[in-house]
Amino acid sequence: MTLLSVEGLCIDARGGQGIVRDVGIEVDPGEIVGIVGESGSGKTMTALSLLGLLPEGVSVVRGEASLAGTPFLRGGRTLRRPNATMIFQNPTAALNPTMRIGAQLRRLLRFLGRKGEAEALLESVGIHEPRAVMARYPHQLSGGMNQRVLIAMAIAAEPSLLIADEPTTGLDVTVQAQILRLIRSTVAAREIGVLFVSHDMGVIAQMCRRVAVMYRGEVREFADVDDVFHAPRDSYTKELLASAREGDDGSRP
Amino acid sequence: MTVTLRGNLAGRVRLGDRMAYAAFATLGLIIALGTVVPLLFGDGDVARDNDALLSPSWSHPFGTDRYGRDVLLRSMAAVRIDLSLGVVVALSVLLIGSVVGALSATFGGVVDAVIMRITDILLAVPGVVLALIITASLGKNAWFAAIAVIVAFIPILVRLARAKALEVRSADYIAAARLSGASTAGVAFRHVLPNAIKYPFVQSTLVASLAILDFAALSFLGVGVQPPTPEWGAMIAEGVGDTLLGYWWPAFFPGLMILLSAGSFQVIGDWLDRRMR
Repeated sequence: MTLLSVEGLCIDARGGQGIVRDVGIEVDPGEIVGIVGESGSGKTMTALSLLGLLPEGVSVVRGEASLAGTPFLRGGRTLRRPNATMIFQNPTAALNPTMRIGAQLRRLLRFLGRKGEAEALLESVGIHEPRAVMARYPHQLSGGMNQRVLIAMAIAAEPSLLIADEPTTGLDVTVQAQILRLIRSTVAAREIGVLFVSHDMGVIAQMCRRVAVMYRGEVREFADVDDVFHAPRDSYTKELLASAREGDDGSRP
Repeated sequence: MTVTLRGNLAGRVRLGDRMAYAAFATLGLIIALGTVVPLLFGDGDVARDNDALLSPSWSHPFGTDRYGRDVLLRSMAAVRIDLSLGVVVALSVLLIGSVVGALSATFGGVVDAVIMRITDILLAVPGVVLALIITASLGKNAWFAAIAVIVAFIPILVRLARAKALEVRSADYIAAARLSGASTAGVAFRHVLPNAIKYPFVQSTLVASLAILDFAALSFLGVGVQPPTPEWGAMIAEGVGDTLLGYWWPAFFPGLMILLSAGSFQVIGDWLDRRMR
């Protein structure tokens, strides 16, 4: 059964300038689906539109989306709040700098009608000293630690869909691997579907089973990662892969 | 070349720090004298057996005015009214201005448009004139003058708080809070206001300085504190006629007090601005 299905999604900027054109994506429960593309290809806007977080002046004009069979977006209008959460590119900026981690976490849990689970929640994302972390402010923690906190906050609501917008781009490489592993194990255990937005072909290949390649607001190819990497059908995908390999070769000594 | 530039910059910052310490010391001295002197020597309201318009001397450092009242004692008695008014106005303006600004920015749309048009209207009229209009319609009273000064300064802080709040509003943690289902007012108070209040706070020290000036101006024009209550603006108004006849001290010393206290707040504001940047 399909968890998330998006069909014919169109997003316009103010003045009718098209940002995303006729995008269709599917995510199964527990599956990680990648969206890959260069800057300005519309991948982040696609992700944000599903959560109703589009910036001012940008809006969905057409398209439908449903989560677990329940439509939440129809004809460009948001019908209901989907049971989905998000993790962001810059984890330190995604936490309120004036509140301690513990206060933010407890506030969220109180909001969800649950109490006293903050420490267990942090332990579940691999934080060994939850008390110490909860007493800190976001700027006192590393980016990787903040991203762990954000993942904990994202799964606290028990969502069926998680949107990850370049969750490891702002982290250094060793931490990147840890966070990717954490995301994978977390969603696998909870059957959460993930829409994983990234511009990094390597990360996508590592994380996802299926991938949508976006270019200039269109999905050029939506298929299994293996097929996309080994037998790309689209001309843009071929170019993208070629440039990724070139970059790899160039960086090697 | 670079070395000179760096040296200059460091020198300027250090000078700024020294200026700020001097400003804190001046304000502290004014507050201390304003508390102690009236307790020990009285308000100087009663013209004891002094002659009128005695020039400054050891027994009357600031001289006496046309009714034989000691200008030093009156200037010190006025500290209570003028300084506490400056601080109260600054705090009220900070509180109201930043809350309204944060709400305006967070809600956006119609709420924001209405609030911005109201501040437009208030900002179109110069502060003192606006305060004059308000006191003229409410009545001659120190309280009304204080309210008038507060109203005159609120739009400036609303604008400032809103500008900063708009910047904060686009942060990821605001999106995250919205996503978790927090109400708009909750987001405004919990997330936007605490992160946007720094600049309005710095600005409020400058508001304190301007409020002292404006309040003295209102009293000078006769709509604020009424004689014989000692207040710097009202004292200048009383002494200004004597200045023309060569008796400069009844108006000069209250003016000096205004200059020192308002100037100190300005310097402290500048210093805070540099420190908190």
